[in-house]
Amino acid sequence: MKNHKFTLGGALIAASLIYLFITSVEQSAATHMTLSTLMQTATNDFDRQRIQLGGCTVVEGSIQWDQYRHRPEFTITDGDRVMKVRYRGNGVLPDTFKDKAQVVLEGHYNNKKQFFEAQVVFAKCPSKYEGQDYQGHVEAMKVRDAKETAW
Amino acid sequence: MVEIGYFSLCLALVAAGYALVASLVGARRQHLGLVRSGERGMLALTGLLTVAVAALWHALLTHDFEVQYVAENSNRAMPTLYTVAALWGGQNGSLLFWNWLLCIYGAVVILCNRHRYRLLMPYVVVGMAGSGLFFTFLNLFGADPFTRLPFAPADGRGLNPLLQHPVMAIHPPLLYLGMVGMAVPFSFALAALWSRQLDTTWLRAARRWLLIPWTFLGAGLLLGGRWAYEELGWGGYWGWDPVENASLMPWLAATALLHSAMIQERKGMLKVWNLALAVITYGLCIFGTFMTRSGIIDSVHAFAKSNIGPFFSTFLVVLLLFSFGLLWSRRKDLKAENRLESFASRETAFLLNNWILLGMLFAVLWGTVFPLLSETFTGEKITVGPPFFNQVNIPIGLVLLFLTGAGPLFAWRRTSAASLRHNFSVPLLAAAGTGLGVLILGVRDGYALMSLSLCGFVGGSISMEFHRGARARQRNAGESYLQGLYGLLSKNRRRYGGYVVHVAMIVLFVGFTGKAFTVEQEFVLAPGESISVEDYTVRYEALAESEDANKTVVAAALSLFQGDTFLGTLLPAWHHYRSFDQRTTEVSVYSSLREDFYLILVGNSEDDSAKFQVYINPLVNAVWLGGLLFVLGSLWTMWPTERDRRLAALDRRTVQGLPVSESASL
Repeated sequence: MKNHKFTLGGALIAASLIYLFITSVEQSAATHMTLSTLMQTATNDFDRQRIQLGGCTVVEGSIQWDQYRHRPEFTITDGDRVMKVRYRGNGVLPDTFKDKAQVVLEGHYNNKKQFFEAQVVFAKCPSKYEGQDYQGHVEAMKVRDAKETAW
Repeated sequence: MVEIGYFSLCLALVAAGYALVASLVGARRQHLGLVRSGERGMLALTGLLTVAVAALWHALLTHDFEVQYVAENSNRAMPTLYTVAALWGGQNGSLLFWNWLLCIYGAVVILCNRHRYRLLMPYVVVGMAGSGLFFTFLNLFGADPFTRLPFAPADGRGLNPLLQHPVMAIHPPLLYLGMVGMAVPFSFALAALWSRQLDTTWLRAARRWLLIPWTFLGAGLLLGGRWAYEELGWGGYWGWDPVENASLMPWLAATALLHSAMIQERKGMLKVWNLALAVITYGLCIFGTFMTRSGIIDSVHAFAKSNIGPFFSTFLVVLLLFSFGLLWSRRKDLKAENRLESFASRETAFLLNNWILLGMLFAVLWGTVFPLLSETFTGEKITVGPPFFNQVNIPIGLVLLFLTGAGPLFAWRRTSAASLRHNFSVPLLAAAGTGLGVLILGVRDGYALMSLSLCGFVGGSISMEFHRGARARQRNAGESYLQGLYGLLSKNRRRYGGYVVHVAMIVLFVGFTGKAFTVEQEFVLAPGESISVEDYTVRYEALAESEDANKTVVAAALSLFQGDTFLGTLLPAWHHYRSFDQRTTEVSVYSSLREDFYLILVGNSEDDSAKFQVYINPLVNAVWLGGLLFVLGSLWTMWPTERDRRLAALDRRTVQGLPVSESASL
């Protein structure tokens, strides 16, 4: 049994895997952007490109639910700029979606009407590892302690 | 108590360093006293970490909110179960917990092998103590769980309601036990390389220590899926999130190692490959932890960015460079003793299985780090979602499923054409029968047809193995057929227990295939109205609202019918936790063996009309059932047999690799 037959077999498998990778990436890829790059580079033919928009938070008080609290319109901000978002997906939004939540959106940008049409909304999970966000807690405790003393 | 914990942690750093150096010097100089002392150092490390963990648990249970970790991760209102679980609920505590489990593994390995593998063990201790040293260092200088606050808050922040689910109390420890445990086979591989004991001894020694974390990791993955399914309300259990991928990857590598180890034991081949796989498996565990906690990858679970990333990447680089350097320097002693003789052999099937598993692993890795890669090389950050992972992994998974059935049908070395025809006939018939059966039942999806036929194929192959074995025992030992089956399972646990795990894989694949038939629909109903979905009818009866100290609950009551048969009342709801301003969606599921009727209350209007979303998930329960069978099968496989006990007793009497005078003094 010659060894190069196995090399050939291995190469064939590797080649088909790579082919599989490339074709699959093409079909499900989304370009990751921050709000500022999106707003700077957006053109009118942008609505064909699937975009993942990261690094934004939901503007407090901006969430407008539809009648059954399914597909909201809301505004996101990176601290600097803002953008309107319409949710068009099927799934129920994650429970972590609320005011000031960090969100990652996937969908298309409509440059003419200046809003982002989101098919998927990821909201920051209440990860167990959020120990860094401590200052907020200290503030909350102080407010609460103050209230308790007031009573 | 907290001071005691911190002090133990400081001492633990010393103990870990000592265990490492003493074992290393002891092994190099063949100094028995030092080797033993190194082992005791490792035991001391375990003891000290136990004290540290106990101190943190004490702080949690006594609500010592002056401790930052306690204030951040628990509060007074939390049920005790979750207060206990808060030990691994936050980053710093979970790293201490991780470290503790690592050292427990180390201690148990030492205690089990006091008289065995004497040439390997000192280096095994070096490997384990090295990891222990790293994690203790991390706990002291990067992730200290004992940091105090300048003041003591009246109450802590507590655990997010989404994580207050019983599964979340067991799922992380299971995953940790799986990830951490991979340090043991890694340490054995390191020991084999370092001590130049490059025969199959290390594999024999490490096999059970690979099976244990492998089982934990598999069970942890499935439990995580179960939690997502019940709690997150999107009708699925697996989303190819980086956090999920991080624990799937080492499991795939370990699965490959479990299989390729068999070729080395039998044929003396793939020596380098197996050592490399042991290193890669542990490396992936560290990489996964690094990836999910350093903030380099945007994930749904978006672990907060923290400063421990550089610690992990440094550790990972050192670990890989050192291990592969050692492997490279020993390459001359790792020549294969045999070559592949034929394509149609079990060796080839195993080899193929390894390539496919690694291909799958690579696909998952590729998709997970693709955003980073594309940004580095093209400047544009491209992300890939679940469609990529599904598209790539479904075909790979089907090939793997085929190999699961085909492997046992090949003989070692070479298989004649006649015996191939003979062996493949029954499984192929089973595949054709299953395929035809599900086609008649109305399955038209190509992948689903293939998957279910292949499940039939594997089922046929495994049944044939059991049947042949039982018949042989019937003939030779005069046992009844059933006794024969039991005899196979109990006398050759490794082989037939392995087949039970393969059956579990069939059941799992049936469950995965069900995803192809999922039906999803949303509808609005007013009280009293009904709607038909597939062959179900739901009638919306009423909406109820209630409040307690923590939360507001809005629940809808619906009656579920199939034809005219009343199946039950569904109560989908949403809760609103006031202190967190956190809403949780509570799904309601009517479960049968055939499928789940999974109902979500999307929202309600002021007139009590409500919007619902339903997922009909066929065969999803096969996933949980397969998971259970997986655990049972692997437990059965790793349970010590009479032969293991005899061998252990023999090892105790003849201590390997030491002069008789020294071994007598042990």
